[in-house]
Formats: sequence, structure tokens, C-alpha cells
Amino acid sequence: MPQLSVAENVVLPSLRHPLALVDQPRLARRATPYLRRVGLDVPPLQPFHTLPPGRRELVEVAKALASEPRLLILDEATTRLPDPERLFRLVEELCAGGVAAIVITQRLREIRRLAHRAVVLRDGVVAGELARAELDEDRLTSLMVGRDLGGFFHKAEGARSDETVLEVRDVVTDRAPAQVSVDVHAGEIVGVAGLVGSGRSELLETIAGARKRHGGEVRVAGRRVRPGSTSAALAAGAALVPEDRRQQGLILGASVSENIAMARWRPLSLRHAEPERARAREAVRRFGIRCPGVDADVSTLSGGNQQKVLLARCVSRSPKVLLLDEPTRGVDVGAREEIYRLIGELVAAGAGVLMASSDLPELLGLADRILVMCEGEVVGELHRAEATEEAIVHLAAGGRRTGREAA
Amino acid sequence: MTAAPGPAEGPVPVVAGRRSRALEAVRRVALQYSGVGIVLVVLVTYLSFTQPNFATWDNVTIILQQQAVLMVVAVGLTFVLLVGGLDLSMGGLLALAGVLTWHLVDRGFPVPLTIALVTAGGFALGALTNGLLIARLRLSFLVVTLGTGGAFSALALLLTNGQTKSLLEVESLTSLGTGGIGSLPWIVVIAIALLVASALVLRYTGFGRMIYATGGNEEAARLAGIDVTLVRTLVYGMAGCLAAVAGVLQAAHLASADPQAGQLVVLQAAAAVLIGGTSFMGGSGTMLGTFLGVVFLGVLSNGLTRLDISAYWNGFITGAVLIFALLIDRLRFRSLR
Repeated sequence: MPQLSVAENVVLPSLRHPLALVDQPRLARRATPYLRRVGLDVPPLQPFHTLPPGRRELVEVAKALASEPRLLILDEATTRLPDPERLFRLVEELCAGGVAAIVITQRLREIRRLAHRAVVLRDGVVAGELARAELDEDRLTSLMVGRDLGGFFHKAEGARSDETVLEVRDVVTDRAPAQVSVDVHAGEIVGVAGLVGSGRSELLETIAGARKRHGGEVRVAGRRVRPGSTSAALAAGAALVPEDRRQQGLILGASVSENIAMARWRPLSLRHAEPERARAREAVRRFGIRCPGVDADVSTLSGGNQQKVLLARCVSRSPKVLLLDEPTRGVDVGAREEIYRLIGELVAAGAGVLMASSDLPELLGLADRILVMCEGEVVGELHRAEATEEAIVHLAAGGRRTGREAA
Repeated sequence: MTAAPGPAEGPVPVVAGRRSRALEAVRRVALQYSGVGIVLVVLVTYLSFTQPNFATWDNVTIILQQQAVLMVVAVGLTFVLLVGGLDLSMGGLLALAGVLTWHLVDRGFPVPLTIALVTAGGFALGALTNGLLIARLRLSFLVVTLGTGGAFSALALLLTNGQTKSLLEVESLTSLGTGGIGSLPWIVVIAIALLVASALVLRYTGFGRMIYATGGNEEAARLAGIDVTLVRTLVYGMAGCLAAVAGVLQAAHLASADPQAGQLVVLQAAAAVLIGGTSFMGGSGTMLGTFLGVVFLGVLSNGLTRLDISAYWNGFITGAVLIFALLIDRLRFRSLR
């Protein structure tokens, strides 16, 4: 309920009395302890919609607490949280107080951190159950994939060439006055790390023309790209796979084939459904998209397969640069591996990739270089050899980098 | 209890066997139009058995003739609803177009040139007022088209001082309402031709598919490189153009230009389009559905007259069928989920 205050969002569901008069200060008093428990330090009467996304999630958690639950279910609750550790401690406190918790997550580390027991689901059935002592990432992943993962990351070494496919010079996004510059070479994967709200998505969307560019220059394969136009960026060869595939990516209710074909539509061109379907079938084979058929509604596909549909759409324009924003968020391990393989193939074929992700192992495994962003600016650049999770987290949290100067 | 709605993961059911595509298409059409289809079939069957003069070619012609203007407006409105908008100004523009037709002919303009000017003007007005305000400045379509519609009908009243102007002596215009192919008057031929052409545009051109994509998920369409501002602007332009055509046809049909001509037509057209299964949220709907919706309203009012039932029931039944069609729609979607 975005127009209501934070306090109302937290407490209203437990009021249950449609005719009760709403006494805002009283609501605020009732909501405050829950807000404090989730570590949300905002005025309770602040309108909900003015909160940044990471904090909205905390309001959701506070709302759940306000119903004084005996069973707490967290469904991917940490995907947008800047500081999940706080939530983990809260869950532990609750458990100590006799509350049961089910934590649904893609992140293995969260399971290791929290779980007393882990149940692994695959294809809708229980693939296995592990006790606390048995929890290690290898066992979890092999249960999730159904086989051992040898070479999870398909990185073709030495694909990088000297040809610069993307030049970003002093670009000012909505996070003015910060300026960002970055080069991506053909055959190179450049990762973008940073906390939620550090400006990763803004950067990618600005390069792709999906957001207003307030200054600076973007060149794709040497050609200047007109700002603020997705069609200009696509025509130049920069294709974006956006962060939120359901809101920003797919036309839910349209078929798989239409969702793939739409990047190639021209207003005045005639459209022939059969060639579109044939191309879609080809993409389904190449990308390993599991679907009942290319005429199936794309909303019936699993998250991983939806993501592959988006990749297929982008690739249909033969982009020189792929801008990937959280390419594996909410994607199961099997599909994730296939997406990595596809990215590897595209890079081997000479595309450049700029990839934002909050999954550090993914960045470390795939990227040749990792840019770390903080408050809209690139605060550091780490090469493959020197990049570690600790180094990234240190920079992302605002710790300036010492030693060699950043890009 | 909490948290980001996790995307539905899990196995994708693999459809066993393969139904032939033709059968699949028939099933889809039958499902899609089951709402208005059932009611229309029942109504036509009942009237055919009880009213000897109902199922005659003459009566069909009469129904189509009465619905021609509504059909053209409904076609324009379908485009607008498909991008998730609404155009309340079409009625005002229809009246203004009729009055402008009289005005130009009165000044000695030849009829074909007049028609060309008025329809082009309708496109320009729709695109430059509604289109730019809604698509580019992102103002609310309800408020914008309510405002422009009021302005258009005021202009129509000003041009004629509120009077209805006769066009009886302008034979080349009125012949559109009388002469035609066989017994089908030109206005019916034109209306159906526009509907068919629009259906083809929607289905077989990039622009048509962009309309569905824009209405289905504007943000996704934009990120996929579709110029949604242009699509929206053109759609409001086409709605204006079709409203102007409807105004000319109305003037030809009635042999007069009435500045208050379009007052109810938008709401009736909206009812027809929605009865035909087009979603008010945008992104889904077809011209075939709109055709069925328009025909249904025509058969209904024709039938009520024949059964000697007060024409005032018309609106009541239209409303009831509209809600019935929505309910069928909801059931259909539930069965698909």
C-alpha cells in the first residue's frame, strides 16, 4: 500500500476493524517496536512509497512480525536487502523464542548460515534433505542440479581482444553528479558489483537508453549512441537484459515466439508469423529453453527459462555489447549453468558483456574485470587475479581502495 | 508471510501429443468469444424462430446500416483500448467532423476533397492533442480526452450556432448512405472495409504487434526497443481519424450535420468493444470481437423493436451482457491458469 505510511503498512493488517478510527500516532507507537526489531530506522509516519526498495522489504518483514507469527516463511526475502545479516539474527532470535521459520532461497550461503535442516526441491519434488552437519555448498549444489558441477563457470580464456566495443565516457545517470566511465572490449566480461542502491542498474539502463542520460558519451563499436532511446542503443548494438524480467522484460500473456521476435519488429514491416516461429524454435533449441512450444504463453515458463527467452530476444539483434542486469536472479541452478554457458559462447564469438550482479561468486567466476560501485560512482576496479569477495565487499561498503588507482 | 514474490520455479509441463493447429485455433476462438458468442447465438436463434422477418437479407442490411457509424468508432476505440487507454473525445470529434463537412461543402469545396481534409484533420487533431498530451507528457487519458472531447463538441456547436445543418442537396455525399454494392449501402461497405483493414494491420504489421506489446507491458516494450510514445501517439491519431470518418458517414447517413451527434456513441462503442472481449487493461483483444460486439448491439435493438419491447430496455440489457461477458472472461482465464 504505497500511499499509506510505514506504520500503517506494518500494523493495519492486524487491526482487522474496518470501522475503527485510524489514530496515526497510536499506530506509530504500535509499529515502532517491530520496525526497531528489523532495524528499520525511519519515521513511522513516512509514506511507504518514499522508501528505497531495499527498505521496503524490511517493512514487509516488520508487517509479518506484527502478526506475531508462530511460523515465519521468508520467500527470497534477501534478494533486495542491503544487510541480510541483521535479518538472519532476527530469525535466530525468533527461533530461540519458539517460532519456526522456513527460509526459501537461491543463495547457498544463507542456508549454511541459518538452517538447522535443508530440504532441496528439484522439479517439484524433494531431491534430498541435509542435516546441519552435512550442509556444504558442493552437496547442496549437486542435489539441486542432480549431478556434480564440474566447471560451473564456462569462461573461455583468452577470448578478449583489443577492439573496444563499448566506451562509456563521463556518463551522468540519475545519480548525478557522479560520473561513470568504463570500456568493454570484444570478448570480455566486465562485472559490476555494489550494494543495492549503488547505481548498478541505473548505469546499465542509462547505457541502454532506458533512462535519461544527463551527460557524457556512449559509443558502441566506435559509433556514438543517441541518449535516452532504447531503439537507438539497440540499433547501435547494445542490448539490455533488465533486472526485473516480469516487470521490465517480458510481455506476459504473449507467446514465447512473440517475446523473442519483438526486438526485430519495425512499424511498417509486414510480420510473418511462420518465420518468427521458426526462428523461435531455433532459439529454443540453442538456448535450451524448456517450454511446451513456441506458442505457449511465456508466463507459464519457469524463471530460468523466462530469462533465457530474454537472452534469446537480445541475441536476435546480434548485439556487440550485452548489458546484463542480475542475469541469474531467481533462476534455479540448472538454468543458471546454462545461462553461464550461453554468456560464454557469446563472448567467445566476440561480444562484450557488462554484467551487474549481487551474486559475488558469479562475478568472480565469470568476469575478467570487476567494477565496484558505491553511491553512483565506480569506486574501484579489480582484475580477475586480484578479485576476492572480501576486496569487493570492502570497496562496495565505501572503503576506498589503496594501492593501484581505480579506472 | 513476507518478501519478494519469488518467481514460480519448477518443471514446465510437457504437453503430451500434439493437437493439430487448426483444431487448436478453433478451440481458442470458441473460448475467446464464448461470452458474446453464446448470447448472440441465443438471441439470433430466438428471433429467427419467432420473428418471420428477422432472418432476411433486408433486415441484415438494416441492422448493418444502423451500426455502421458505431462500428467505425468501435474500431478506433479498439486500438486505444489495446494500448491500455480510452478516448472519450471521439464523440465530440465525430460531431465536429460532421459539422466541418457541412462547413467545407457549404464553402464550395468538392465532396472528395472535403472528406480527405476532414479525415486527415481528425488524425492530426487526435495525434496532436490526445496523442501528445497522453503519450509524451504522460497525462491521464481520462482527463485529457474528457477535456478535448468537450472542446471538440463546443467547436461543433460554435460553427453551426447549435443548429443542425441539412446536407440533403449534397447528393454525392448522401449517396454514401443510399447507393452501394447491391443492397449494401456504401457506409456499411466502408465500415466493414475499415474493420477488416484494421484487423490485418493489428495482426500482420510490426505496428500492430507493437500495439499489443505496448498495452501488454509498456516498460518491457520500451526496453525491447519499441518507441511506445510513437505507438501511442499514432493510436490516438488513428482514433481521431476514425472518429472523423464516422462523422462523415453519420452526416451522409442522416443527410445532415448535427453538432450534438456523437453524444452517446463513445459509451456504446466502448460497450461493444468490451463485450467483444477486449481487455480494459490493454494488450488483449481483437477486431473480430469488436465486430461481434457491434453486431450484438444491433441485433439487440432490432430485436427489441420487433418484439415490441420498450427501447429503454436497450441500455439495461447492454449493461447486463457486458457484465456477463466479463464474467465469462474471468472464468476462461481461470480455466487457463
